[in-house]
Amino acid sequence: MNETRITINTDGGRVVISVTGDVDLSNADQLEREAVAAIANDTLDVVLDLGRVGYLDSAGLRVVYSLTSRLRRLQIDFAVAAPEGSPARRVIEMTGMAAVAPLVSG
Amino acid sequence: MESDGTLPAMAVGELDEQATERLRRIEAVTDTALAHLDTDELLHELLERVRELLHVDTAAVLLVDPKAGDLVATVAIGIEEEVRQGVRIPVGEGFAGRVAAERRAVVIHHVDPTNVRNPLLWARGIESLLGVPLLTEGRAIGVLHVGSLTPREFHTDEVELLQRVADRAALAVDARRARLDRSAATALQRSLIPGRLPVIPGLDLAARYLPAVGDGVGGDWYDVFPLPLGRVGLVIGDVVGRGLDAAVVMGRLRSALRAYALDWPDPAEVLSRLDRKLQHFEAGQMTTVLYAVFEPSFQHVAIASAGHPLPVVKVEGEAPRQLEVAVDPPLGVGLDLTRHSHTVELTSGTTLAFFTDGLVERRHQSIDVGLAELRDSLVGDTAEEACTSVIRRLLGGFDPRDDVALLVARCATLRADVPLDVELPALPASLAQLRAAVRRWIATAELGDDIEFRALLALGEAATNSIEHAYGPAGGTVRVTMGLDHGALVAEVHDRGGWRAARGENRGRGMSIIEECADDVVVDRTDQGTTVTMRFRVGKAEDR
Repeated sequence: MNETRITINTDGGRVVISVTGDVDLSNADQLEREAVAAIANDTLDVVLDLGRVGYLDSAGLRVVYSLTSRLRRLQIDFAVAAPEGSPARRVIEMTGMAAVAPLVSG
Repeated sequence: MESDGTLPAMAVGELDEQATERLRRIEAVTDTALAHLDTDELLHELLERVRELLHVDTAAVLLVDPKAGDLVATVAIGIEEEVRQGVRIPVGEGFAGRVAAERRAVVIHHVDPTNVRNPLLWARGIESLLGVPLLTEGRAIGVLHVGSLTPREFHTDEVELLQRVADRAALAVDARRARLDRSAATALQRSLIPGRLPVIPGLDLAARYLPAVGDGVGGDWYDVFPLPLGRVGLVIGDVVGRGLDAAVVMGRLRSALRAYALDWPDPAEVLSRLDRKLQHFEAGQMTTVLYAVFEPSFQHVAIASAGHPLPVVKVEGEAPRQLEVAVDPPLGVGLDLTRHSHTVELTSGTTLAFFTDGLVERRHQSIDVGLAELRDSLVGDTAEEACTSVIRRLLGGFDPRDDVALLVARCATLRADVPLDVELPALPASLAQLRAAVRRWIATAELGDDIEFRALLALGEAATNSIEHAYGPAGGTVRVTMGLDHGALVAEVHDRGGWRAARGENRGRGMSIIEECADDVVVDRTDQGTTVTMRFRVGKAEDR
């Protein structure tokens, strides 16, 4: 990925995955692979920070949904960080995903 | 002449008379009537006649492979195996090697393993050998040798005769090699310079490449490619040198630059890596290159130049000027240095003319004259018109002495009353190009953040559907139009395929997003394709 960057920060049992740039069909799969690879099985909780994502569509939502269901199975806490009014938050709210993946303002 | 292979003492006049007639026949081989023969066919024809002329059993030509410095058996008669085995003999070694190294005729009366290195020659039963060099401009480019299966002398006149044949052969081989080099270089150049530039919404592109007349192509090149997330890369460069070697280096640099461009957003970084690659793998080669990256909005372009002339910039309503930013040294000069990128602001309608020095350099004339002519002639409403105008003005009267490359990029002027209309390959990478175009158009129409968000998302979903579901592996295109109509933004996404049902988990959410975003959606599926028409009422978000 080029200007879409994924940064992983691990602090104790918490993994923060920060994404900047646009997420669409061209890079969603890669985002998912990198995110999954960063999460060890002894992780306690994961935050996916989409606050600096400029565009996110259903391809990106698929990643959010997939992470939500996988982490639930592993009993790892999961939250999506995106401030009110940010593009990612608007899409998540618009599609009812907020009920599935807990949203925090970042 | 006697046919037993030995030459009796005969009158010089007699040999001359017969030989002259036969030599005429040999010379006829190298004449224009046989110009269509390739090198091997020509040499074969020559050897046939040599064998007849000198009453020998074998005849062979070995040519120097300039890269390895070896003699390579190229054509042979009577000892065809020499060619089949691809015999290589280092210059200076053995019989043929000696002929090439000493650049003079060598005669061996009795062949044995001590004086002939190539086992094929003595295994064949050759008793006597005569070899002469193929010389052009004092260099040995090969060896012509004849052999006899019975012991024989070679008369001085015969040696001279064979040398004259070799001289003709050398000229013909040299000319054919140069021609082959030229056509290979031209073919390579043609295959590497884009015949059609990519379609990039909002960036009007046109280019010209004119090879130098007479002297074969050089190493000029240009390239334009879409990058991830709507950015666009543009390259123009000039490898020092001419002919096939320069064209090959150019091809390698072009590919390497594209590869680095995919991974590194900063032009200076890309050129630094390209420099490292050039110095390591093509030591001794020097090249100038300019690499520019347009931001998706086309409001900025980042430029780094390695010794390459800077573009002429024409901002609407202003006089054209040559860009003035620092130029770093060319690639390949062997300095470990820091390269620099410069960001240039663009406005709609700005034209950039990138060029190689062949465009503005003239003998007995300052480069400033050419540059002034370029500035003056950069006119026209489209990039294509600008190219035509510049070439006509600078090269109208004469053929270029050096290669000329010209690449004009014009940031299209967007207007709210002119609908956006873009057609892109139905590939995931097109989505970023599409968003960049839509963002630019919506900004021009001043429709605000909320419409931008909704239109981007709805168009993105509809285009994603076309990309994922409309076509088989053969692919196709997706076309997007948008314009204002009775207080609403109307956008259409059109493909020529038939959507199949969504596959996989969590798919098929796109349509509900479109319905959520747009105030009105119509999906029209026909045999000719699918069109999704979306309307967005223009106004504040609270009014919805």
